[in-house]
Amino acid sequence: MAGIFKFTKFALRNLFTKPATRAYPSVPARQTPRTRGAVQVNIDDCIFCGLCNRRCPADAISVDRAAKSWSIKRMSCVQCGNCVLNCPKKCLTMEGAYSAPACEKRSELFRKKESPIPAVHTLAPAPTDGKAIAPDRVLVIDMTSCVLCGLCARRCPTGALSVDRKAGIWTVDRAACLQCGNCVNGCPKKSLALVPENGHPQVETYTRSAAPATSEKTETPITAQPKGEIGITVDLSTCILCGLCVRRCPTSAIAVDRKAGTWSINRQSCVVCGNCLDVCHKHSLSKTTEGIDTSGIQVYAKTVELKAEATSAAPAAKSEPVVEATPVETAPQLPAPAPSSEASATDAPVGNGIAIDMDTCVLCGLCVKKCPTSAITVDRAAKSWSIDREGCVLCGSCITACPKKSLSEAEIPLLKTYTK
Amino acid sequence: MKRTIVPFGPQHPVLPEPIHLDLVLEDEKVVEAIPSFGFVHRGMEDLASKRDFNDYLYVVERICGICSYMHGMSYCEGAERIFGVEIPDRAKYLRTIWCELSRLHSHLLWLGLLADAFGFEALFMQSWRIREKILDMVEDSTGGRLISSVNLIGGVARDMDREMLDGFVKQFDKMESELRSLTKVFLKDTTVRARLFEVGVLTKTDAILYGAVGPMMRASGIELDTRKLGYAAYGDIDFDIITSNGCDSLARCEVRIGEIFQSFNIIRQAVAKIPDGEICISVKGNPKGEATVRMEQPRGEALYYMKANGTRNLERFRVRTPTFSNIYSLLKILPGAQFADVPLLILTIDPCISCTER
Amino acid sequence: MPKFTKSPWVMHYDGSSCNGCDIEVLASMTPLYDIERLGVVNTGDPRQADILLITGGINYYNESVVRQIYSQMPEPKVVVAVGICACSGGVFRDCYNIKGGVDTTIPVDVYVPGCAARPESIIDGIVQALEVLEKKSAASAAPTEGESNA
Repeated sequence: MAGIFKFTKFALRNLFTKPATRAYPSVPARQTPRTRGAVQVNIDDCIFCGLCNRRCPADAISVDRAAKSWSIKRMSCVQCGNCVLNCPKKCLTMEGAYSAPACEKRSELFRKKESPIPAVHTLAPAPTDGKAIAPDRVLVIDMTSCVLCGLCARRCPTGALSVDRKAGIWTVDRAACLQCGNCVNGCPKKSLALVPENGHPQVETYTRSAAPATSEKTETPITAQPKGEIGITVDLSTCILCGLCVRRCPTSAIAVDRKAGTWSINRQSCVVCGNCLDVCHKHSLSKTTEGIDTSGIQVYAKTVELKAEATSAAPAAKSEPVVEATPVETAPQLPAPAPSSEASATDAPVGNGIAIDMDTCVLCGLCVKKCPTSAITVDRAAKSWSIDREGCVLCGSCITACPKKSLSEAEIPLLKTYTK
Repeated sequence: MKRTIVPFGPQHPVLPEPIHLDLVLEDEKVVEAIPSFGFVHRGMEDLASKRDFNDYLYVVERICGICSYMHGMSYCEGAERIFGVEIPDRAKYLRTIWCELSRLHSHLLWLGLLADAFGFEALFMQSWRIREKILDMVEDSTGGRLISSVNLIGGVARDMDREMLDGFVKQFDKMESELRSLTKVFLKDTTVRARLFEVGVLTKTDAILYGAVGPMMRASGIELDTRKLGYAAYGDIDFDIITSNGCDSLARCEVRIGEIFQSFNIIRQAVAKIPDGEICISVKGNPKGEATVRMEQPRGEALYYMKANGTRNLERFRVRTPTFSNIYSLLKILPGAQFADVPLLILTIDPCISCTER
Repeated sequence: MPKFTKSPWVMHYDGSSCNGCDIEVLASMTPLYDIERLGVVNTGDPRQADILLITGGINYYNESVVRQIYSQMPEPKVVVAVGICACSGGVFRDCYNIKGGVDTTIPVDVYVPGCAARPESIIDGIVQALEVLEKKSAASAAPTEGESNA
């Protein structure tokens, strides 16, 4: 008899307890604070060092330093946590995210947002000496000198400025303005200033008056009006076709073709702001009223040979068009020349130029990065250092940058390639 | 009598792993079993020469999903012996607790699969239901259910605070009472006894001769347990070696059930004695030297040999897993068994073919 | 979840897995996750299965086995690769014996990530596989209706 009622206890218990099942799709999945999920990256902190890539046992992560992107193959990540453990910036986490099943293998890419400051290089960095960042000041403009070149709008990190050249309007959104002073420092006409606040409206539009105010400055630009006689011209005898003016032109009006030896300017786009004049090391550019044809593009072609401080055997070096960035030149492999070396064996002209001591040079490439005209190239595999003598503007940035003090400016045979 | 050859595996409903046996049968009795393994062979030991020794830890963890924790721990132990460092005491106790949790989940898994093998599916479901509680504990403390990735060379990566440890111990009381009624079925129920009693007998001499390890050997009366060597915190913990003289599948069941209850006690002791302190020390540089580690996996004694030559990659990493030794015992107990008992016998050695074949 | 009229039968095969994902597949059948409440039955026979759950990568030994199982399944059939090793080879993809994920041998319809794949992910994967199965049945059912009319 006792055998019959033995099971009653279990039966009653099973009737009245709730089932052990977690009804998964209807109730959320069980998550603890430590549950390993999908790897997430905080891309703003990431320095793209690539340690996570090297440490991943399943090779799921790829890091592209140049493109500033970090991607992970979700169907390869085993959630081991090695990347999280080894990240020097602690920008990876693994808790809490869920990798859902899918019908195809996918990877996720995270890219760092580009900085909104455009890549318009200045020779002098914009000073942020604290005075520029002043919350009690507001940005104002003197429209009499403004040429509506738009440089300020491009330099503004928050997009607070807008310039409409056609309509002759300059607008500032003072709520977005950080008072950083970037525009003030970058204005070629010094039209901008940060002044003490005095009831300025949040968004203000300035319009160019129809008649430009006369001022003692003779370089009043005329964009809204039909272009007058004034325009930029180049003295090709001194111009080395380095292309710096191309880079500084805010309206991309200038084009330089080194192979063909031409310098051209689109008069329609040129706002005669004078930026190119400021940057030209050779002082080849000037404003003039002569020979300016404002209808379209004007091309100036070099007929004069490139600079050749004549020595006995000049012709070999002269008329060769300058080829960019090929480390293997036709120049013979020469030992590093001392300033008074036996380089007369070659036919390189002697003149003022950048000299390198290949014994101390480590081919790090810093001079390449600093050269504003990209005249230098370094080939580590071939152990050679080359310089385009025509492109070199003797600014001295490479000399300052060289950590080994291998570079100097001297009177030397102007060779193009040096090898270790 | 005419003989038939029945191929068993690699895909069969009862075992989760692919093994292939050609069973030579006379009527319903197995006369010979010809094994054919290699379906799970991945070539993991060769990877040691291609991966940095720190990253290789994550490969070693994945030798087997069931014994995963102890593989990782043994690798770290071996590396620590090569470096000659001593990990903090708290890390040793934490490792012990996780080892025993791993043993618990493995034995409960085995009980369920055994029940499934002789057809008692309800027992399978009940065993795994209780096992899920252990997995919840492992997930709370490490983040992963089976593969925990919590060992590091030099200690452990996660800590368990007092609250968590006491919470675990509190759940054990309820689990123990549930398990007692469950294991009573395994040991006392008539149908189950009929399937397990006197099935797959491995005598004591045979166990020594064929190199059985773990519960397989302890069920044949041999009193050996690698935990008595004293690695991790086992030196400070009091426990007996559980043996049985039955030599059959029922005895192996008894030994494993005994080990389940023993694990609860070991964890209770470890939680009571755990000291405060750090959980990891930093180990730098490349290893140079060799080390041998012996560890008691749920399935038996596992041997790990590591050799390093001062570079980033290990020169040699060799694992001799317990199932590798137990396979010979399996091939000894199969002849003479009934055909219907073959899945049961394969399960009675607690096979972990992925450990064996790596 | 779409409305299912028939319950799919699942078959599970382990090809060079570490057992982690296999245990989780079995765990989805046990009371806590219980995929049987969705009508899914675990069968051992490929000739009666609709969904094939494969764990682990493919190595040179079990390639032919996997192909044979796949060919034994009747149409329409769905393959679910459970776990990272089945999706892409995982941490073992450089091993000399591993060819790669399951898609090197048979076409895969659903990839379930995770190491070991959690039972919840496996349930999600099976639900997605059911949707793929419905589409395949509908696609294969249409021509026969045309034939019977003709």
